[in-house]
Amino acid sequence: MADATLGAPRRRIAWSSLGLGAAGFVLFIAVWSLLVHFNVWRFSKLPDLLSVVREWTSRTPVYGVSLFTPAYYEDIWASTVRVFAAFALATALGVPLGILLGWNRIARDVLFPLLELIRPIPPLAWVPLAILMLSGQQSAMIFLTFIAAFFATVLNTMLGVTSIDESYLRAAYCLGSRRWDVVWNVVLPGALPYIFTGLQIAMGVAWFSLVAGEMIAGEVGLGYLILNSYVELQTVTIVIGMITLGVIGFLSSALVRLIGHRLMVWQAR
Amino acid sequence: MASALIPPPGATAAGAISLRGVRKVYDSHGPAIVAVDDWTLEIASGEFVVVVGPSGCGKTTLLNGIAGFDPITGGEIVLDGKTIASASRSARPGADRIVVFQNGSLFPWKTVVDNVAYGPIVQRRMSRGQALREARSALARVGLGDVAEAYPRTLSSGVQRRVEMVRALINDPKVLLLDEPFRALDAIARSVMHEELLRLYDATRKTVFFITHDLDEAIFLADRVVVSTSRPARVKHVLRVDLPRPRTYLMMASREFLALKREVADAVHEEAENAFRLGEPELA
Amino acid sequence: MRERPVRKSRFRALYALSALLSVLAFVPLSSAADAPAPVHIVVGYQPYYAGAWSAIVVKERELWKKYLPPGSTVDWEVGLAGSVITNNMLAGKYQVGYVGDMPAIVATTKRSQADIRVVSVTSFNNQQCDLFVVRADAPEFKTPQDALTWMNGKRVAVPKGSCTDRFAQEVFKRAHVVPAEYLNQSIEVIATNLRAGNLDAAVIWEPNVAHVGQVVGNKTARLVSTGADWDQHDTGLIIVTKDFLDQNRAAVVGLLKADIEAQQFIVSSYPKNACDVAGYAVSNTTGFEKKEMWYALYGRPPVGDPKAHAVRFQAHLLFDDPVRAFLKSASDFLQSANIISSPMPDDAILDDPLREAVRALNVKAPLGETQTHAAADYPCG
Repeated sequence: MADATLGAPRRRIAWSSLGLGAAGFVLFIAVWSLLVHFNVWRFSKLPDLLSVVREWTSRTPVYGVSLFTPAYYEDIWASTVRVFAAFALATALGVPLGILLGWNRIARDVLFPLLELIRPIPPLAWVPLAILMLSGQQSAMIFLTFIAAFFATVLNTMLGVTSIDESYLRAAYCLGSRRWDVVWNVVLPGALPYIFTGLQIAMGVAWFSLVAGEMIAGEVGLGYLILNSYVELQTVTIVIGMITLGVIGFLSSALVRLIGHRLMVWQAR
Repeated sequence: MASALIPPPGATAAGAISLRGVRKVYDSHGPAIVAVDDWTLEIASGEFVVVVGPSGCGKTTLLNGIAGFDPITGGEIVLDGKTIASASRSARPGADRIVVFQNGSLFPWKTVVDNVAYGPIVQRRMSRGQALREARSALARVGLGDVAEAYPRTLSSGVQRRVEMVRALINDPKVLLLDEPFRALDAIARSVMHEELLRLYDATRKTVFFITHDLDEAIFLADRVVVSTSRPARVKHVLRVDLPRPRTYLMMASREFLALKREVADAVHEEAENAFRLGEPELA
Repeated sequence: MRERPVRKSRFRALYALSALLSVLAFVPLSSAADAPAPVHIVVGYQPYYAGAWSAIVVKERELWKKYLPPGSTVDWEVGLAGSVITNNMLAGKYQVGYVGDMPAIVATTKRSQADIRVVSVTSFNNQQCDLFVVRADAPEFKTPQDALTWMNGKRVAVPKGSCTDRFAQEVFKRAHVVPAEYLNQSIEVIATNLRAGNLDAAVIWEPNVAHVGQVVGNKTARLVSTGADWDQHDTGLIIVTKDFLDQNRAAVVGLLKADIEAQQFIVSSYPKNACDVAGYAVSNTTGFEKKEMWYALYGRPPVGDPKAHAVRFQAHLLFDDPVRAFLKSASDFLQSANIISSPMPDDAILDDPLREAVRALNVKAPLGETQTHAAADYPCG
């Protein structure tokens, strides 16, 4: 008779994705601290985690920016407003243009090469033109943040449209749709998964471009904080700015993902 | 055989299709491929016609021509006396000839009832509220009332096909075009679908143009079975299925059924060997 | 038998003679081995800040070759801003830097990263960094005070934490002026904003003022007031890392000697030297013209009384009381603006090497100053 306990069942730890994610952060912080502490290569030049945390959580921070200073939240708010404005603009202009490009061959042949030519130009290169073309610092900064987000949105929307299964379009026409009906009822929802991938990317690159754009900020903003801290050699504040930027960017993308899941309920099994 | 080419007596005009010398040549990429060559067939109103033939022979191309997805390069297609497609004029898809697709084309982002109500809404025949009410009752009539609020992805393929048929029929089309709609279903689901389709057919008596490579299915469903040659497609053989309606599965064991099957199998087998030898890739 | 002792004594003498000769032969070689080893220095310099242009003269005339051991090399690295140079020094990549007063002071407060000291004054002026410009279409002002009053409720930009920031805030306080917006932007952004008409006024340094101005530049702005109107100053400084100074003191002294000669060059033999300096400045920058560079050091600002605005560049050289007092007030400003957390250390100014260089060259400080000329008298053909 076979032994019922042949090979006693091994204990398996349930690794939840949240736990793994947290472990990833902890590991990163530990490695950083060790590298700085043991002066590996040139890491001693970087501020160590403790001084960053101390400054960040201090009620009277040395350089005026911490969790307890209103300036910190003004910076966050100013940047968030700029990013979301740019993102909204990129979506409002990018999705329709992407649909047009995916839908209409002539439009695609005319506009696509032009877009691909302009797309690689980094935000930093646009700064002087933005200042000259747009009056006001805020509009110039929003433009700089908008550009990369716009291209990401257009491209992914276009891809989404061209990848829609032909049968859906044919079925819609069979059932008596006119072109506009097809766009609204088939093309847009059909491309939505790709569009939302594009929007997540757009949100990420918007934050990314913000730092370059905020060199014309003049007063507030996370990118401005980072650039200014660089000029004034306040390395601890630079790190605070970077971490804050990362966190807010992460949350923004998560928000877009969440909205996507809500809108695409039909994808769930 | 000759009588098989003539539509049965008493046929009315609505949904009568004439395919006269229809020809389709693809020549956009490389050497010209003749998919359909001189296809001539008269389909009476309310008739259930099934076209069988080896894969890639061009029957789907024909269906696309009737539906208006693909222009034809020669001959003409006439629906109820009006030429809807010819070499100079491409047909446009419309609600008078609705297609049920092979891999299912219910809109995944709409619920079942929204799918079914789509046609009436988009044709501006009724208001949204009215269309939804009609859709719900249509679904209830075929026993699908309780999946109305579900999304297609959560349903089995069989149920999806049934919904698709309701979505088509609620628009009262003249012609129903089915392109191997049950190919992806297993044998058991398929037999259920046959009975469902025939029940709908008996109730509505629409003209049906059905494509398959399954001989049993063809004979079981059809008024007439048309055997297509291998590419390029031409009418090779037409036979009438005189089995009474409503059809039951027991008929598949009858002597008449087997005789019909022998006749069809002979015609198809020769073409199947041709297609196999040619080994050309399948067209749309 | 009697021959052997004779041979031995003759050989002994021969040995002694050859020993003596070889010792003598080695003597000059050993003194050559005692000569200083060549040094390799990386110097960060700011060609876009006229107050520190002695660096360009040292570089272009290779004056450092005269005072550094033979075989030494100097890598001259352009810094578009003072903070770039100080950052590199804190990282240990540059050993010497030519910067404006504010970046220098900030750098001396970062002892935890690197010990940086101030060792020389490249200029002590009141019209290099303390320059108010307004948009080209602003009204004409009778006096500098009128110009400042106009800035009430206007949009003004300065690079924060720089000499201009300190100057602007001090003057605004004295003139009781409150701008509507006081923006922190870099020089390039300010220049573009002036061009686009997005700014009402800005405070920037030479040669950028010449570049955007009405007199010799692209006319997108107008100079309306200088430090001479408000008794304010600015300096250019040389900073070194203490480690490098300790290990290569002679080299540092040598560089300072070269710099002294450069400053002398700037303030003498007008107009020939002036045109040379302008030429050197052009070849170390992009987008500037020779006339603008000349104007930065030798052109008269078109403001107020010519006599009050007569001096553009003073080779002050030593850390005397006025300079020290000025640096202390600058440090106080930075601290009050929360840009540095502690004041400039008392031992930040290390002027022994400078005194040594002055003594060795037997010069008297101040070395001289540049007199200003009208733009119409541009002498460089």
